[in-house]
Amino acid sequence: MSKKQKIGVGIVIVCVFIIFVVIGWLNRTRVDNERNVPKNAVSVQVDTVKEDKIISKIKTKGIVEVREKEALYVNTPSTIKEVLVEVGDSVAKDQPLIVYDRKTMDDLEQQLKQAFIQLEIQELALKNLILPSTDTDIEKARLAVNQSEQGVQDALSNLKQAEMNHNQSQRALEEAKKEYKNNQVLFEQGALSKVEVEQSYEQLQVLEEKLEAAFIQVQGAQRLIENAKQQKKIAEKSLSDLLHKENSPNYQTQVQTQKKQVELQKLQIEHLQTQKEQYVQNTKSPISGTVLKMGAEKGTVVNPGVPIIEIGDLSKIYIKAEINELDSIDIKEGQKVKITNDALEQISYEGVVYKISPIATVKQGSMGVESVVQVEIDLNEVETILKPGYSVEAEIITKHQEKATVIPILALIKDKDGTPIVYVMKEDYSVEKREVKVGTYADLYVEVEGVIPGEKIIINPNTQVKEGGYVKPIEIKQSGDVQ
Amino acid sequence: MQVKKPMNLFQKIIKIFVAPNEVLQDIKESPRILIPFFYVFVITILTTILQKPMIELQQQEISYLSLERYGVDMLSLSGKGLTNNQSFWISLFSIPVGVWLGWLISSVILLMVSKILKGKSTYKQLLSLVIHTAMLTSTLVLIVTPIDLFLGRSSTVFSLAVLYPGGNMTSFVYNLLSVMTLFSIWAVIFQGMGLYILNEFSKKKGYITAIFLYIGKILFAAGAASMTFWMFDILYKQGIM
Repeated sequence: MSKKQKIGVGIVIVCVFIIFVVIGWLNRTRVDNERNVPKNAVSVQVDTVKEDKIISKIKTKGIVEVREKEALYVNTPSTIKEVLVEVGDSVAKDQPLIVYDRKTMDDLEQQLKQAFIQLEIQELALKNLILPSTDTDIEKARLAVNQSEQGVQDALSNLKQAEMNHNQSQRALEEAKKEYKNNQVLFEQGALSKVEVEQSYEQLQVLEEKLEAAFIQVQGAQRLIENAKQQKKIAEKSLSDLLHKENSPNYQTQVQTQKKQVELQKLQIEHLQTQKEQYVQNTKSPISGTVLKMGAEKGTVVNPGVPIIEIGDLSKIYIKAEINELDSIDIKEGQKVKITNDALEQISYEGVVYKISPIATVKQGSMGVESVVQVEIDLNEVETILKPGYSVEAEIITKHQEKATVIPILALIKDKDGTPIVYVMKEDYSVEKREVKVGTYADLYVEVEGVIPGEKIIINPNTQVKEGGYVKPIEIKQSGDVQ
Repeated sequence: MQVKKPMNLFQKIIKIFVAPNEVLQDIKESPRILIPFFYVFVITILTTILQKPMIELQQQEISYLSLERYGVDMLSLSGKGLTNNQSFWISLFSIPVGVWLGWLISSVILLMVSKILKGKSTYKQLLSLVIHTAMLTSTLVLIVTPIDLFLGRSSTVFSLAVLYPGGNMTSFVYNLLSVMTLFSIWAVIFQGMGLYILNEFSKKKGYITAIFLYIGKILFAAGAASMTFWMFDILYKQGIM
């Protein structure tokens, strides 16, 4: 390529570049004129600060439950002979619902009969125990005392006699001993024969044996006295017991024990009677309402603790809902609630918070483990098409203020130090950072102090929005209540 | 035989505009990578710093378009927690990395195409060609950036998008025209020349290959630029936004 050609190409290139610059310049001017906004302004969405009513709500899901609900149970395993109702049937209080096999009833009646007999026995025993002593018994006891007294006297006489015998034997023995000593002296002097000495010795031995026998007699008599005295004591005690029976501690204990036995037996009867009554009652509807659920069929054996038939009063339904622990602090009894159902779009009911559980429970939610507080909501309407078990949406109105300065929640941001601020757009499109005091939160709006109704605020400001900067506003349409 | 001395950087910077043939011959004989890379790196950083107001304008444009189109500020969604400065520094360091990756991939594609067309170039030559092409474009961009800044534009005035004044970033055609800058067209010509010199095949083959690759590149770039708005369009139509 020659130098001239190169210069030509260069000129063409420069010309092309100049043409682009000119076109670009013309376009830029036109675009800015069309937009009629400050140069280098940041595009932002703006909204107007309003004075409006603000309703703060907490949304939750709930289940329709029956307030008055009862179920039939059995106390002892029983076989169902017949079921008299079906699910959905309306029943009156005490209307028979079920018939059981007779066997359980027969068993109960048998047990009751036995318990009555047992009570009779116990009562007789008590009666016998507490009857006053008869004259005959006292006479007999006195006689026994007298006889024992006599026995003591006789024993004393016997002892006296035995002692006398013993003394005589002793004296006789002393004599015999002296005589034997004399006879020995005489025998040594030759005055007496050996046979005579031996005879006196034998006599001495006989007397010694006699003394021993007399001594045993004395001892026997003494024992007899002791026995007789013992007998007398027993007889006297028996008499005393008969005469002063009520004061005896043993007697009191016996009576008390027997009374308790009677009481126990009565309780047993009472229990059996209650069982019998309950058994009869368990066949009847405990309340007026509708049969909600059947837990057993004809011919099946039902066990205690298993609900057989559930009856509920459908005119008294309520909503059971769970509120996150963070929201629960705003919930108060009596707060209004709007109840809706996804399937019944056109229908909504009103209710009030009736009861708030005093404790929170931990449950596994979609966001992990969370603590929830159970809330009961009463429906204002009695006639509803809601049925127990329906899932509903509940909007609990925690705060309702007729006049408040509100801004869209997206306009409220936090400064670096965490202070709540909003960016206010002035008439010349410049931006002012304004500190605000935050009040009630609604779904999309928040009540604030620090801005004036009518002022323009920037929604969801991006990082290019700065105090003193300029913005291009894009206003959004608003309508309806602030909720 | 006389051995030709390789060109130095300053010679290359001048000759790439006035005598590209000589630069390409130099690449063929001694394909340099590092020095041109550092040059491009420094120039790109410098250009990015200079273009900071343009980047801000671009972000404002995105905010405006997204607010007008969807009622949502795309920038406030994507840039949560990032300040302007943070975004700028992130882009400052991510751009060179991205550019390097782009060069490596482009070189591989060029090598594949060259081999299919039975060219004689090596990977190193082609990578050097790609980097020298970047040298050309980055220098041009640096030269014209003050003009763009003076005009207060969010994108360069030297793209075909200037011929489509009603367009904006939400349009694929506009994005396609935006990436078709005068520098990129210049670069295609340079690359076409480079391909036929390095591969030793006809001029026609070299230019056609360069043009085809360019078409692929601009379609990809325009698609990527439009992608965010396409995704937002889908979300908006489905009522998610």
